[in-house]
Amino acid sequence: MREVIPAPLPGLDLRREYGHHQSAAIRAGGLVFCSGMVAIDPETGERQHGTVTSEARRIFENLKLLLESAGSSLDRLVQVHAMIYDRIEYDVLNRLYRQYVPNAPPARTVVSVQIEAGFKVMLDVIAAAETRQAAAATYPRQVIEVRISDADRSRRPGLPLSPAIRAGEFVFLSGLTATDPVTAAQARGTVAAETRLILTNMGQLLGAAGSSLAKVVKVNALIYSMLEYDNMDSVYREFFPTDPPARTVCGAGLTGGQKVEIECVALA
Amino acid sequence: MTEGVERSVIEPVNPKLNVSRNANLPHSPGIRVGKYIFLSGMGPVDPVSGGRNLGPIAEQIRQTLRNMAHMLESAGSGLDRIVKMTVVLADAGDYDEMNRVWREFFPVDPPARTACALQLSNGNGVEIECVALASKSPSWTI
Repeated sequence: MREVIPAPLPGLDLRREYGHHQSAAIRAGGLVFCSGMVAIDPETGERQHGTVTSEARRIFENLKLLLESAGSSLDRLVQVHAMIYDRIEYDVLNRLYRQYVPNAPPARTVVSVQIEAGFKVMLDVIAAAETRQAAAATYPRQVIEVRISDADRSRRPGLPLSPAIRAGEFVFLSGLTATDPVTAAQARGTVAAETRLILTNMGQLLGAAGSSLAKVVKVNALIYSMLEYDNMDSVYREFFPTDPPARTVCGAGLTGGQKVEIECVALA
Repeated sequence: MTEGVERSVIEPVNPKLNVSRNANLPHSPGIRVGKYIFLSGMGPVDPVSGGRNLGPIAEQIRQTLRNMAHMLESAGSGLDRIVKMTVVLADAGDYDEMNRVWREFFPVDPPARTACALQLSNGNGVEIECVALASKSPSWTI
């Protein structure tokens, strides 16, 4: 069951406000996957650039609204990817952060990346939906075998990763970079071309895992420069025509000279 | 509508590896939610001294993965239960070296993985986080 959580207030609808091709949050398998949250006014959608402290406070207030509308809360955050524009602000972020998650805080990784629209902070979170029953006890982990034509970079001989793992309700994909589906060779091109190849391959890979692009709940896209955002996005939206997944995009250094890398979590 | 899940904090048995507690940072070492465990980003911490173990990058990665194994085992899981990993390297040039170490730790059916190169703090050369399945079970397939 994949349920789109609409923005609880109009300003939090980044799709409407800024044309971001993403849902505010997706609830699936007992978890709530939120799109990367930035400091915007929840009523008007106005961007509220400020300090790390002021942006992070706005973000947490927005997340509180969004999670509560999704049947969760800040107390039930599971994992946070905290993105800041410069590592030097780490302690500044922590001071504000601990006010919002004082007890049993979520697992967290802080990374320094380029964030959209000149923001200093973005929080990418997964939360647990409210409990109604205890979970069952045993769970299989299954590596998804793919045919050679289900291209992804793991076809490069001996790379020590699996392209996809099914676990519980979800399929977790490795970050995909542009590879030719026939020869499995690296296919470098424009951001648009790489994005198209990656998402085409992602669709095949998900199909091999018994899933599909329509079942994707969360996408993380890394591009080498945020200046290329629109070039990625214009292709991306062709692949997710309706009810797009929650999404986070950031600018980061990629290995091997690629321009785009995209990973996802999908319902199995 | 639909189902909810239990949420609980997990911590390493070895207190020296409880970095967030020792440094008073506002995150938990890991969170168990339903059938999954989400770990915070981990670095090359020395399990005896609790200090940073900043040697060659291969050794940093090995140390980090050993710490991750300890963390997961503390919660009744293990490296072989990892589903998805995210690796942040301080230097993209260490990519091949990382893969060499990966083969030592994950000789068969390695986890899904995403790697990128970003600024890291404290001079760490690597930071690794993961999502794993919780408790062992005789019925798991691989």
